[in-house]
Amino acid sequence: MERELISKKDLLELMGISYGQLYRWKRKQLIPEEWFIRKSTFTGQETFFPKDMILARIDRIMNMKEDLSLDELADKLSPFQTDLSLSKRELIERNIVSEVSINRHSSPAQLNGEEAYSFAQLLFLYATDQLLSDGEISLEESGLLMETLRDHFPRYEGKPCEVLFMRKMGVSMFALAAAPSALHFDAGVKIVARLQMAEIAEQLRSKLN
Amino acid sequence: MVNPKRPALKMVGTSSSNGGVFGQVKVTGECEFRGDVDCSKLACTGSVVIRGALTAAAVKLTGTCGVESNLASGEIGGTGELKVKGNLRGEKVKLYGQLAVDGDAELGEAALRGAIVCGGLLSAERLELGLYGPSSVGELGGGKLRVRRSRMSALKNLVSPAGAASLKAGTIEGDQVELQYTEADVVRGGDVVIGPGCTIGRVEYRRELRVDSRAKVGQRVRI
Repeated sequence: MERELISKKDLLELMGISYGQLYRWKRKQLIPEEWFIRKSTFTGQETFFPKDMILARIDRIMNMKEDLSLDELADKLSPFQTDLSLSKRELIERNIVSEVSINRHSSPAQLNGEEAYSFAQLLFLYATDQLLSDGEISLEESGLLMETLRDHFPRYEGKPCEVLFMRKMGVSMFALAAAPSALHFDAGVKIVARLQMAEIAEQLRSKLN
Repeated sequence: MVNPKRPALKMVGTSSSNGGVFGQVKVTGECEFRGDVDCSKLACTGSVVIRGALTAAAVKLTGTCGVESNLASGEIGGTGELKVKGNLRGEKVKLYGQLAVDGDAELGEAALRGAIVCGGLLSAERLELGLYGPSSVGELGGGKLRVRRSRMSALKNLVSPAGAASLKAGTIEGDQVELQYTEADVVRGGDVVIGPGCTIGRVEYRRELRVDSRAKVGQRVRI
């Protein structure tokens, strides 16, 4: 997945912010560490950012910083700490998760609308649904992924992690790994999908808001 | 938290603790913590080693302090040597002596005098760096950065010529950058002042650039 990058220099120019602001926001953890991508260019080391994400983030910070202190902002922007919850009806109406995934991975109380989905549950559903609708995984495997996420995702306590889906000789498996991680497999292993959970959470949040 | 009350801790002489959550921690002498420490204030006279992470609202140091993991604090002040194996985060830092950070150091307002070694990025809102010894930083960034060589270091150089007071850095970026006796590949900034003793590969500036006649600058680019 090649994504468009923007250099720090261009970013400052484009958004009209200073180095001081950028580093302050980084220190206050308003901008995640993983977005700072170091690359060498012909003029030496430069820092790049994923363009769409950083522009959206800076926009939000600039809009919200008038009413909130930076520390309050950090809580708001932290990808995994959200007290949002949605009911099944809203989920379908807003087309966030497909009905197939909802029906398959919800508790009975959630299905008949008595219980809402917490943000963590939504996140797992959303991640699973994304792989499912991309045709990367089968319905059975989606159950396995939900289970993996439910069992192991909380252990990361909000630290960045990624989901790996691999196949070897027709056998499929999921793994969660702390990000950024460098993993290497034998030649027979094919990594079918790789999802950054922080990114998924970010996408989900922008859909919810 | 298991213990809502934060008890104070006083340690005198050579002693050790398993760490934990405290109010005020006072160390006089030599002390080792064998775990994470979370306290409202750590005052150390002597030497303290923390085999874990340190979180404190304030740290006051006279002597040496070693942290094996991350150090996060509101205020850090004192004289002596501070070694952090992980990342350092502090809002207000005023330190005389040696600061060594293996990871990144993210500071608010920082006044440092002595020698600094930082493996990763040293960033600060406002940084005043007085060089007394050989310093190196992977990357330096922030709002207002000022690096100067102290007058005393000329005297020190006479006594021990090894380890001249200078700074080595990969990239330096800031809105206002003022450098002396610094060697860097790239300097980027709004207003840039390159003082005596600097060797800079490339300077990119937005508004103003001043270069001392005793400095060497490769390329100068206005952006």
